[in-house]
Amino acid sequence: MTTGPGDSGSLQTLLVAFAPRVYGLLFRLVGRADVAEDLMQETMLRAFRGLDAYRPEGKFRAWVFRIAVNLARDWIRRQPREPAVSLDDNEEPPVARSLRAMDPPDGAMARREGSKRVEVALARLSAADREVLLLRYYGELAFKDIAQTTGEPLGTVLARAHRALKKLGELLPEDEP
Amino acid sequence: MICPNNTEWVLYATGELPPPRRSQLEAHLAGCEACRREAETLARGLAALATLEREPAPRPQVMETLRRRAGEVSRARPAVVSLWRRYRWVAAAAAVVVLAIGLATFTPQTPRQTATATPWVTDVHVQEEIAEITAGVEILEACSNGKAPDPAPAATDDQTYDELEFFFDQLRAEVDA
Repeated sequence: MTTGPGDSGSLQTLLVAFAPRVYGLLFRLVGRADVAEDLMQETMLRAFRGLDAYRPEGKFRAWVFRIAVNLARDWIRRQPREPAVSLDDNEEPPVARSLRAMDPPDGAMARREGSKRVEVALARLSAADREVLLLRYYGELAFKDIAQTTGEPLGTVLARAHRALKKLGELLPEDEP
Repeated sequence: MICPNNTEWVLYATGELPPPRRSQLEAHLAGCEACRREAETLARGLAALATLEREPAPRPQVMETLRRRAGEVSRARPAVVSLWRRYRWVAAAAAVVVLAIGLATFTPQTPRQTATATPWVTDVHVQEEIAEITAGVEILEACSNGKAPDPAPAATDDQTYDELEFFFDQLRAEVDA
């Protein structure tokens, strides 16, 4: 990424540090690369426009991810009601399909297969439980920051994390991943 | 010992449990098969999460578009661009105050050998504080010049996040003022 006219170093630093992770989180939440790109841009622009709303008692990172999560929730809510996730183990979840479509011809298929099992397990979680795990994974947020991001009490977030991790652990055989 | 609750096991598995309590849980694990299975399942869930593939980054043209649009927002917010200049004087003033307090308070002692740009200050605590402030100013200056701080920020670098949060905390204070 280069610096262009009117651009500022602080802006560039912000984009470099946050955009890929925000995109990663959104991609897993909505399951579509094109939508994730749009929402990522909207998240970053809202963060810039809304700096006045940021209060320094919380982490700046958690604040940015909260904008992203809210945008993803809104987008999901607007979609026609259909099961976003199949409970059939043999069916590929949307995120896995999108990843496969982007895979180069010489992509490591074995690696993809291993990841697909986790994708399926992750896709079987409730949206709220999945959100907590993804915020932990992409945002590397502490649970108290995840609570701030999702707007839920810390106890609820920890309960979600416990349920989600346990399901993920139980769905995968003991010798995996 | 009564078996720990789910919340504690999540904090234990993710490394967020404070050390004294962590030791107690580890001692408990040695004698409780059910809890050992619980902890192993959660650890397996975390390990599975870690195998998720990092999907491709947003397309370069998307980042370019974002940079251009964000630049327009930035131009509309001169405070973002000019913050570092004003803050530099605050930092310089703070450094002077710290230096004065340090010289007035501390009796010169044999200093520890530390790398510092202020060798005339003999107290190591004052040296460290000055170094910290200087580093902060350098980061802001690098940002304002359109260059990434050295070393360049990485998306996974917690220090970068902290620096950004520090930067925007200052910006917020300025907006409030």
